[in-house]
Amino acid sequence: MTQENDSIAAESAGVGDKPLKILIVDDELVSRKKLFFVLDKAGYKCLEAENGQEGVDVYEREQPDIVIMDILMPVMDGYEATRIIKKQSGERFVPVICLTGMEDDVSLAKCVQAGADDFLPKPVNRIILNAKIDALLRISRLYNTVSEQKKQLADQFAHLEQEQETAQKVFATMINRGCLDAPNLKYLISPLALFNGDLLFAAQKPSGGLHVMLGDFTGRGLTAAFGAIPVSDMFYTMTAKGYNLGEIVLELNTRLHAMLPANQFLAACLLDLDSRVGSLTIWNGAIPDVVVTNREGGIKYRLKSRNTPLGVVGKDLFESIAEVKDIGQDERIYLYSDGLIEARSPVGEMFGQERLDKYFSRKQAPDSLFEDIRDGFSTFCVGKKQEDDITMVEIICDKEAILPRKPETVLVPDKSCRMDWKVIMDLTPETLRTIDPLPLIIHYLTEDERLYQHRENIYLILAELFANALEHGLLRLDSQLKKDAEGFAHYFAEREKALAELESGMMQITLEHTFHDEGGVFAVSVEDSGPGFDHHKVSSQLADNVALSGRGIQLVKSLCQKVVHHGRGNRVEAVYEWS
Amino acid sequence: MALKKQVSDDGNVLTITISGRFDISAYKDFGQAYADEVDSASKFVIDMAECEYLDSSALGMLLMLRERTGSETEKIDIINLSPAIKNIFTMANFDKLFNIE
Repeated sequence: MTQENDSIAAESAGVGDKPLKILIVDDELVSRKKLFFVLDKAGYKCLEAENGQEGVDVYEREQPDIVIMDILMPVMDGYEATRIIKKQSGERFVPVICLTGMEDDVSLAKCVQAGADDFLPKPVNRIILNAKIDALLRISRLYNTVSEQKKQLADQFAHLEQEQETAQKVFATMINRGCLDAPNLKYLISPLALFNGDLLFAAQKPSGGLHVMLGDFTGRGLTAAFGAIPVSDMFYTMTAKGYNLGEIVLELNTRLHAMLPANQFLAACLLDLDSRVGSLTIWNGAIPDVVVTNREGGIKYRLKSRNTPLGVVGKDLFESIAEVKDIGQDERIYLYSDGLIEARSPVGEMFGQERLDKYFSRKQAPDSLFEDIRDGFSTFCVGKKQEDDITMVEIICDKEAILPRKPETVLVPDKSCRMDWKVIMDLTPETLRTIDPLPLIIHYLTEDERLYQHRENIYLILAELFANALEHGLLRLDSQLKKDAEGFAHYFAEREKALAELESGMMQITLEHTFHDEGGVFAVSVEDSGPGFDHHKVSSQLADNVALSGRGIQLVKSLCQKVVHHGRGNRVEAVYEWS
Repeated sequence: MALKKQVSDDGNVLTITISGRFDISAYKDFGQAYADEVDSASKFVIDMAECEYLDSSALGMLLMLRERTGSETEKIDIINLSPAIKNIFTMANFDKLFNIE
């Protein structure tokens, strides 16, 4: 044998591996031995069987790589044995070559039906035999590689899918913990992938109002989901602690800027709705126009994006502009991601802002507007594959809406120590410009588990008294300004300006808490250095005060056992008893 | 999406012309288009005359260029914007971050 022949034989027998196994099934001893001799010399490990049944048995035991099968045999013929072996080989490709003395088409067809891959006429020609085995082994190797890869892929895919499902469950519990199920809120979330690049959060403020956030990350899927978790965490935690919209926006921006690479950001719109007072604060950074509709339908006003998206620039360059607007009972706010406007019909036409505005402008059936947009949209896009995440939300300004209670996101302190205490805070203009003392106070107060149950009421009382002392006592703003919608915005602009310019003055907040057997007494006193007001006159008018201003103090009165003005009207004391 | 680049004779100005859809499919090409000049050129011009569509990942790529060139507003001009595309830049308030014509 030449060197060349050796190498060919080595290749056919499987380089470096164990030699390939060939099972020879033939009842004629001479014919079998002849094949054995030829193949053994070519480097294969040969196995022998004397009939079909034995062939099947050896196949099961030895799992050969290729089978040479005679047809006419006792006990079990070659057709039946081939059928069984082919069935047992399953996913694995085991070539079967049938040996046949018969050249009629019928028996060849029967071989094919049984699953044979090739034929060899008897007596066997050595060269043709080797050539056929080589060819079939090449196919078998290819087949087995492909099916092995296919299996690996399928395994990996199944694994990935399972991981994604788990991750999605974790993601969902992280994200869906607010009050999206509030009775005055309707929403539609249609993510393109398992993980949504759009975010929609809603949370009740300690004072009873509502914070809603719609976000749209650059990119989608996993990258977006990655950023969603800290965002939801900050949004819910800060809202629960009583931080205002501006502070939440600033914190989100700073954190996202530090966390995300330069090409990633979060387009977002945050709103603060206080239905009882009738005010809406909106911060819009690269989200399509927020639309507010009238009670009977039709656009009341729209709020365009006035900010860069979150995470684009650092704290030093970040200019945050929030708008404060007046909003009345049963007026509706619509927020939506650009996926809604940019969605296309099967012929490539965009749904578009104009089409959407037609819905907003209609002056009938405001109750079904959300559903009509949703249905109109899905009819428009029917038959077209979705290309982006789509989110839309409707919030009705409703004083009576009772928000569902949710297990708190902020850890509820479990210690309940009975301690009486008193805290006095002096606030200078500089302090008032830089921090909002309320979240700090609330955080401190609610360290006690039992008081924690009353944080909403306490927050409301504090917020109201604080705002009065600041806005009217120190900043000398006229609450008559708040009479109408325009005045409302004007009022807030004036407030900003006056606060920035405030040079002198002082506010003192005194908090005192005494426990008794069934509860406690929380007393707050707020004094400002302002001129005060004629509190005897004002309190007599409160009963029939229906203007935008003055509602706050009414609320405080309804919550407290006692509200008294002292001195020239520049000190107010409120007592809240709880049990 | 097709992308062309041109460097001025003195090597100071790099102009990148974008045509068709400017979206995530341009990510690699766009990065390569400025890779050689990012440290040497003093001015980057993005010509959008033939750009039909732009999405948020394109805005992200522009922000990436901005960061790579030292985050200076004057360094990057974005020119020849169609009203629709200009609207996207305005909505995102990117006029504070780039020179937009």
